[in-house]
Amino acid sequence: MSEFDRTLKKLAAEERRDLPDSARERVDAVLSSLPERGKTGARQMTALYVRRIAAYAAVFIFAMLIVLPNVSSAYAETLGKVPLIGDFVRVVTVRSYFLDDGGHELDVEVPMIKEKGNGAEEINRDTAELTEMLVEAFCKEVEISSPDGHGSLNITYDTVLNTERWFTLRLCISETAAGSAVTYRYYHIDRESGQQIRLGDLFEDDGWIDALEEALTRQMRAEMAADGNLTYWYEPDEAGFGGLALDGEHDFILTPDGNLMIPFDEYEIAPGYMGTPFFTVETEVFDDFLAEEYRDLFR
Amino acid sequence: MDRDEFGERVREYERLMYSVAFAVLRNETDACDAMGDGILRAYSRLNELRDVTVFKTWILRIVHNTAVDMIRKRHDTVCLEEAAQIPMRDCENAEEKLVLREAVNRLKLPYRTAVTLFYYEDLPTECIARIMSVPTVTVRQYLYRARKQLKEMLSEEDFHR
Repeated sequence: MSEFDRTLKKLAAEERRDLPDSARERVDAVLSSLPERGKTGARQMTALYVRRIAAYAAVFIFAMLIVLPNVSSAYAETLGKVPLIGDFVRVVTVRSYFLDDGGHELDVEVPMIKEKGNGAEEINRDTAELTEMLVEAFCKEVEISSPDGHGSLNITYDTVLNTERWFTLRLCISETAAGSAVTYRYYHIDRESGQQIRLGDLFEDDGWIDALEEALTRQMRAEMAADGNLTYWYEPDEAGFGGLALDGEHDFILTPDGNLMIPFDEYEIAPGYMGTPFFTVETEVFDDFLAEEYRDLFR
Repeated sequence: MDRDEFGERVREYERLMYSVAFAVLRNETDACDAMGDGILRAYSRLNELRDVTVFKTWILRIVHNTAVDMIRKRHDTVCLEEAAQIPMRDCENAEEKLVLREAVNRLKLPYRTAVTLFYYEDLPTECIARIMSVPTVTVRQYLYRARKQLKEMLSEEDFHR
């Protein structure tokens, strides 16, 4: 985090505003007007929302007519990714969305991990919520855009690692509007514990952050020295922006041959033309910080 | 979730809901309207909330969308005077805080919302992405561009680092 960033955070945190009385009074009024939930309450809410429903009818009708989510279990089974020989965890497409009106393209597959345990449940919930939210936002954009507007949303998934010990699902989100952005999200399950694992979970203390950042910076410097066309923003620029900043939530990949790979989103660490770069970090860099239960994962 | 539990959870996040609405609308009256409408909208759609553990993100997203809908239905009027009326909790760095708040208020949407949620509310980019219905990488881009704009605005104001 740059000095400028730290200053902004500090000042903003100190100046965090209290809730004004007018807002508190509004919340009081709204909450006291709410009917009980249930049939009677539902009717009251319906009456309360007649005008609002009319206002949003166009959006709903649009979504009903054009965007057709397929949610049948038979369909999900049919479209389920065929497990490869040796795969331990099965993933199926539980829902899909498709739209092509000549200007807007929507093609979304929502995965479901067919595995028991908290980790799979968390991931299934997360991917369902994320994809639903993005589809909803896309439909809204289509609704308000001009007739000759363009845009696309494409979400696919694949399995990066699927072994007796470890499972990794990758979600690829590709959006095009005024510009374009591609982002990947990696979800990991330790199949011994059944838990979802994030980068920070692999280590016992925070020393790994400096160690990994130093190793990644070395690699980026070396690549830039070898090829003048490459640019990485491993340090904040002269204005104090950007720079390499890992945390416990950062994406990572465990490769089949036992290496740790750190992928970056577009624009996260390099200009857009560099795509989504990734770097492999040698085990000796972070070996001292590894949690005991994950030592066997790395070479 | 029944009405009382819904009310309790709304109370828990009311300050944050107001902050989201104010970030978009920049005036107290409209922020209160968006907040009130958002609460009603959320209650009417409560059956869509499948997991109560995501209530915070869910209701903040509804309030955010309600505020954005409001701004789309009217022209975005600027009420920067209200920034000067924000009560400060203490006097330390009061001038710098006011200058920063004014600069944030001058940012365009969606940068203003991202900056408010990231710096003022200390929310992680992942959570902001869910509230704003965009990918995390997009939030990072918003913040990156917003910082550049803030840096320029604040250097014009002789902002002390």
